Amino acid sequence: MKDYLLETYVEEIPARCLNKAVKDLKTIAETELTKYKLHYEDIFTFGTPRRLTLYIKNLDENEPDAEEEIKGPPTSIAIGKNGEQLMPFKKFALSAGVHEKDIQVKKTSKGQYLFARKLIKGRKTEDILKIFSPWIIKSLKFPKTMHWDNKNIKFVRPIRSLLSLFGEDLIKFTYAGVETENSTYGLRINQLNKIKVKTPADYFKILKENYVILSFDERKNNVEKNAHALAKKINGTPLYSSDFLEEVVNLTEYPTPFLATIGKEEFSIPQCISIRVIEDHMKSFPCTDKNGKLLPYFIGVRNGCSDFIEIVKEGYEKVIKARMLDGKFFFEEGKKIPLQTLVSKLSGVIFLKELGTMKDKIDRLTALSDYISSKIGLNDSQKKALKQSAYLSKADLLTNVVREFPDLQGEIGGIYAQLQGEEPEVCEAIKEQYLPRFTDDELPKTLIGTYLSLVDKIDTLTGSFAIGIAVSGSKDPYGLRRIGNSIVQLLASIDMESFPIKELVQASIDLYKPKKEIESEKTLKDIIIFLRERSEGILKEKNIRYDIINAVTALSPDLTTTYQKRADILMNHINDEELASIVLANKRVNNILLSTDISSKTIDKKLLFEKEEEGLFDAIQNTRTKIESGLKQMNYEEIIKLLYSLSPVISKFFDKVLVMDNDEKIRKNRLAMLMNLKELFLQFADFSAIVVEKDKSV
Amino acid sequence: MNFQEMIFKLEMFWKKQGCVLLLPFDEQIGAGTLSPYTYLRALGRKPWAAVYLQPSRRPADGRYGENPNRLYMHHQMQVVLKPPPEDIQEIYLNSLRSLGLKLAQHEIKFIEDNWETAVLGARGIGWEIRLDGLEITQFTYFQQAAGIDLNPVSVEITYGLERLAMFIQKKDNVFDIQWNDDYTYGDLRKDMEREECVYAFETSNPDQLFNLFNIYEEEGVSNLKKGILYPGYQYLLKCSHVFNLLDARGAISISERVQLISRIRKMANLAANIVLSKEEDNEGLSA
Repeated sequence: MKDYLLETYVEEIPARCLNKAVKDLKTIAETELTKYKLHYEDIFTFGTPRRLTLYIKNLDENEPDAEEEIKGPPTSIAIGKNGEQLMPFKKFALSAGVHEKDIQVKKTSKGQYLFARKLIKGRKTEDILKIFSPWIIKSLKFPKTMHWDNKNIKFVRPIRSLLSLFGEDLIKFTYAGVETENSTYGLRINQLNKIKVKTPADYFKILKENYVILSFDERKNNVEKNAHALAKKINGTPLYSSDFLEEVVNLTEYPTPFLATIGKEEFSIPQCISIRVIEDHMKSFPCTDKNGKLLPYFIGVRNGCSDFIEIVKEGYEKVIKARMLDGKFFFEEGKKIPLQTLVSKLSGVIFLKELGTMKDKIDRLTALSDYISSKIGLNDSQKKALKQSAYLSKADLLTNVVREFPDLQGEIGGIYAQLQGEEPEVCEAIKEQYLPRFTDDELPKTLIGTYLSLVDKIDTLTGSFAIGIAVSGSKDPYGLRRIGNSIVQLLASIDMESFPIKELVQASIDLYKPKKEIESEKTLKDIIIFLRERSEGILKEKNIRYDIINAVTALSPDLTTTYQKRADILMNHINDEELASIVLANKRVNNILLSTDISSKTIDKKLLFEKEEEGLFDAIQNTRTKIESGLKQMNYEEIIKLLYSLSPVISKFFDKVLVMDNDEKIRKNRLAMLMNLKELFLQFADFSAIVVEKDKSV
Repeated sequence: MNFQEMIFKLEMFWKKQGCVLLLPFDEQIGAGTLSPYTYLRALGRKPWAAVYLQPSRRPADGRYGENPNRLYMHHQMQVVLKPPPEDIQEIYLNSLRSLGLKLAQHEIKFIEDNWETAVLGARGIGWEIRLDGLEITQFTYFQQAAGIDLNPVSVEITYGLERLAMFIQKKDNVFDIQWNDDYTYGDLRKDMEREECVYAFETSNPDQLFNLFNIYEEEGVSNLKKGILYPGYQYLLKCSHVFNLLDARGAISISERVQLISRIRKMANLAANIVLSKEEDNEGLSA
């Protein structure tokens, strides 16, 4: 057994696709190796901007020999009466390529046949690797590939060297015009020098000595540890997301973080712009103090060791100065144009395909804002604020700051709004309009921001559905699932027992109608179904049981605001015996109602004869009022307890009262009572969806 | 090292690599790629290696000569190599060494930057190259021109000379660069910068510019249709500059923008087809 090493040495691989390539390399190698009968101890893959490395530990040197059994003719024609070998026998031995003495007779279900046992000599691993290795490189997929000369091969970036060592042996092959060699390169510090590699073990040692850290995790830990230590010197913390950290780490073969300073003058721009400059332009980490306030420092990560790092640091400081001044210039320019002026220019910006301009969108958003304000009874100042924030919401798309830093849309609009003296609620709402951008992202903190974000997303969703942009399987080019999820999250954050989402979507459809022909009913139905699916998805992510998810999402879409709260209560009580009895009672009620065509819910008190049915009647009346008030207060714990209290009354009723009485009047009266009961249950959840363990039910 | 010497050094360096040393193309050009020395030469199979300085005008970047880093017109050193040599990255780094840079004392990063120009239907894959965080070069493997896949591929290396000079001369303001020992960049360029900005942002007449665009386009298209390549292509360059002027003036709405770009793109396609059919006629080679 020997180790195998394959290094594909390339010009700089984009940082964002490196980790996936390293992962894919491993999967592809594993899958491919199963095709051969080669055993190995383990597979490791590594990547830096310059190389993708596959390392197979303790790989067999030969494929094991195998025995093959070849079925021949039946003995009836191959062997004579006296056991002599007939012609077919000899022919079979010849064709199977075995000696006659290696042929055996075996019984099968169809009689006796000749069988030849043949030894298949295993191939040399060396020969297999010559096929295996180029195939592995070829199989790697990247989001974008390129040509780099006149050959027909594409790869993420030009391949410049290939190292392929099996133990001490060079495995020769050529890919993309590059012949394998037993050499590699270290970090490009000055001249790039070819270094000879004797064995795979040698390779790891050589790279270490030549400033290449192969493992992403090792580079990442190094960066994180040092970045925190550096930030500590200024009583700060480095600020970064895991994606950005990955990008920064993958721009290096040997990362060395360093602390650099930002001048006072340049620093006097909104914090959000500074962060974008530091991250986007400098590929560095901003630092904040313990209150989250940005500090006039940043942490750069040099691709290289700490020699001469002062020079590198000075360079970075000079660049950030220029970049910050640019940011300042853009910001100051933006201040000169009132947002209102920009709003009118939005008629030159396309919103989405055939859905008109951003100005059209603004017109719809302001109308939708008015609609929702009156629908849920916002007060006059809230109503005004929502409309104004909707009106100004997209103006910042035309500012240089957003052109330079698209991520700052909304946030910068809010800052400009503040500077031109808009109401604080308006500014906050503009800032928050894109929240939440993804699951677990922060939600708008203000009421107006929540409604603005909601109407904006409903408008986009409606428009997309109207022009048939569909979500199917993995295809979701316009990110509609994300928008749907955001809508559901926004609704869940609204502290209301119910929210007229269905009517809001209808209003949104109506607003498109003058300019766009829409199948109104179908669009509404599709959107509501889509939102329900999003609700289900989000509850699932919160580890809610599937049956409970079904029980709550079966309720009206207007109750989306309370799905989560209801689901939580059900999750807490799922093992209660009382809950099981409610589920059972609900089932009995439904079964009886299903067999009838009752429609009236009116109960005639005079037709109540039995003590138990009077008891149930009183309990229903009594509970209904309490449930109604519980719903208003969204006290679902209280409601479940109220339903529990019905359980014994219902049991007694079913024990003593025959619903299907022969007298039609009495029968109908009792069925009406069950209708009332069913309605009461449905006030909380669709209990018929809930699965309870049989032995616990009463 | 002063600015003019940097230019000589880079030109000499690439001359030694076998590049033909050309003079700037005499039209107002937005980027070195638009020069016929790059765009038209990247098409077809014929090998090509050239280096030329290209003054590049980007009106929207103008700041009246008051910003230490932004210019209406800056200078690009443009290198085109078809096909690119295998060690092209190393050759490029040697060109920096030829300017006296000791790379071991600095940091070089190649950061993904795939370049695309809608007006030319051109796209490339490559990097921006950062020297201690400063973007000094765009390094691109040209993949497509006029929507046509290029074979062989060309590599295009574009140095931002002012940035490089500021780095080498340790200047914080572009106008403080020493052009030679007697003149600074500001002495030679500041007045022109300011006036070009006044023109682009204040005194240009958008209606006239729109007219010019139409006239240049008509002249260009009619000649390109007759197979007259270079004069026709020069009108494309004029259209592109007028477009940039209108853009800087804020006179183009977004929908107009798309439309104007597609009109220039049509001229680029016409020009590209002439190049390819000429090559086919002359050498019996087809792509």
